[in-house]
Amino acid sequence: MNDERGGGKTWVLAGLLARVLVGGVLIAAGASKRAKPPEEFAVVIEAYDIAPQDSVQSLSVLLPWAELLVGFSLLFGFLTPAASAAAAAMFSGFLLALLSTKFRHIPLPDCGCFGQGLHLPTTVTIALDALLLLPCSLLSLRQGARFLSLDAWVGRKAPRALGPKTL
Amino acid sequence: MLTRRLSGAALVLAATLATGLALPRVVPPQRESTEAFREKGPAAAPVTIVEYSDFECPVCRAAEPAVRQVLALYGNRARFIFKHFPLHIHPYALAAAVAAECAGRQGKFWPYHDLLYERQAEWTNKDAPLKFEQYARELGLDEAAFKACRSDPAVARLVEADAREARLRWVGGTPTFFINGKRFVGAWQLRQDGVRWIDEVLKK
Repeated sequence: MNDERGGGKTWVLAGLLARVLVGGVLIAAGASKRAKPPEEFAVVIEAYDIAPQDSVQSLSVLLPWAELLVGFSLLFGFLTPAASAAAAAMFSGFLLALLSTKFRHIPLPDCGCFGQGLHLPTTVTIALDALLLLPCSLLSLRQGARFLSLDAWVGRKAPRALGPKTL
Repeated sequence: MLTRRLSGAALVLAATLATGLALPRVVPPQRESTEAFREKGPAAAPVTIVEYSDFECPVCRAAEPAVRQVLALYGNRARFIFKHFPLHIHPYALAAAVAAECAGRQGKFWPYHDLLYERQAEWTNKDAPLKFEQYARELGLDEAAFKACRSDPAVARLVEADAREARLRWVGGTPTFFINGKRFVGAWQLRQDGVRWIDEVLKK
C-alpha cells in the first residue's frame, strides 16, 4: 500500500481521502448547478462583476461541466496530478473572485458554489475554499494518490498473454 | 496501456455526461393567471412576459425601471403578468403580497404595487401592517373591506399557489421573467437577452 513516492500507509490513505473529498465537492457543486436552469447561475456570475457580460451565459453553462469533469477525474484517480492542478486553479480563481467582492464591497446574496442548494456566508465560503486548496496541493505534490485509482490501473503492466511455455 | 488510458478517459467522460444530463429539469408551463387585475396588455399579444417577484426584494425594486422600459418599448405587442413569489428570507413579503392582492380586488393593484416598491425601505419592518393600511387609505380604498380581505386565508392561499408554481418552474430567485416560456433572471438579463428574444419572437 505504498505509493510511487514511497509514502506510507497514512499518506496513501490521505491521498485517497483527498481525492474523494475534492472530487466529491466539485461533483456536488457541478451537479447542483446543472440541476438548475443556467440563467440562475448566470445571475450569480453577473453579481461578481468580473467576467465580461457577453461571456456570462457561456460561463454559466460551461463551468458546471468543468466541475463535473475535474471532480470525476479526481474521484476515479484519472490523470490525478493534472486534475488536482485544475481543481486548485478553480478554487484559487473562485477565492480571488470572492476576495475581490469583499474589497469592492459587493454584497453577494449567494456565492453560487452549490447553485441554490446551499447558501453559505462569503467568509465561510472563503475559508472552506482555502481549506480545499490543501488536499489539492497534497495530490499535486505527491504526483497523485494512486491507491484505488485509474492511474494505477493504466500504469500497471498488462498480464502477458498465455503462451505455450506457461501452459 | 493506450487502451487502458482511453478506457479510463471514457469512464470519466461517461460519468460526467451521465451526471450532467441525467438531472431532470422539466419546466412546466405557467397556469393562466387567476387574477385578471395582475395583467397588463392585450390577451392576444404575441409576447407574454410573466414576472415572479417579491415586494420585499431590493433587486425586484431595482428591476422595476427595466420592466417599465420593456413594456413601453413593445406597447400593445406585449402582455405582462405579475406573479407572487414571496421568499422565506423576507418576513414581510407574504403580507405585502396579500395586501397588494386586496388592493387589486378594489381595482388598485398596480398603484399599490408601485407604492410597495417605491417605499420599500419604509415598510420592511415591524410597522408593515400599519403602513399597508396607510397606503390603502392614500389610494382611497375601502378600509374595512381591505382589512377583512387581508385576514382572509383564501387570499394568502392564492399567493402561495403562485409561489408553489414558481418553485415547480425552478425559479430560484426574484425577479425571474418568462418571456414566451424562455427564462430571464434579473434586470440585466431582461434588458439585454430578453429584448433580443422578444425581437426574435416578433420577427417570426
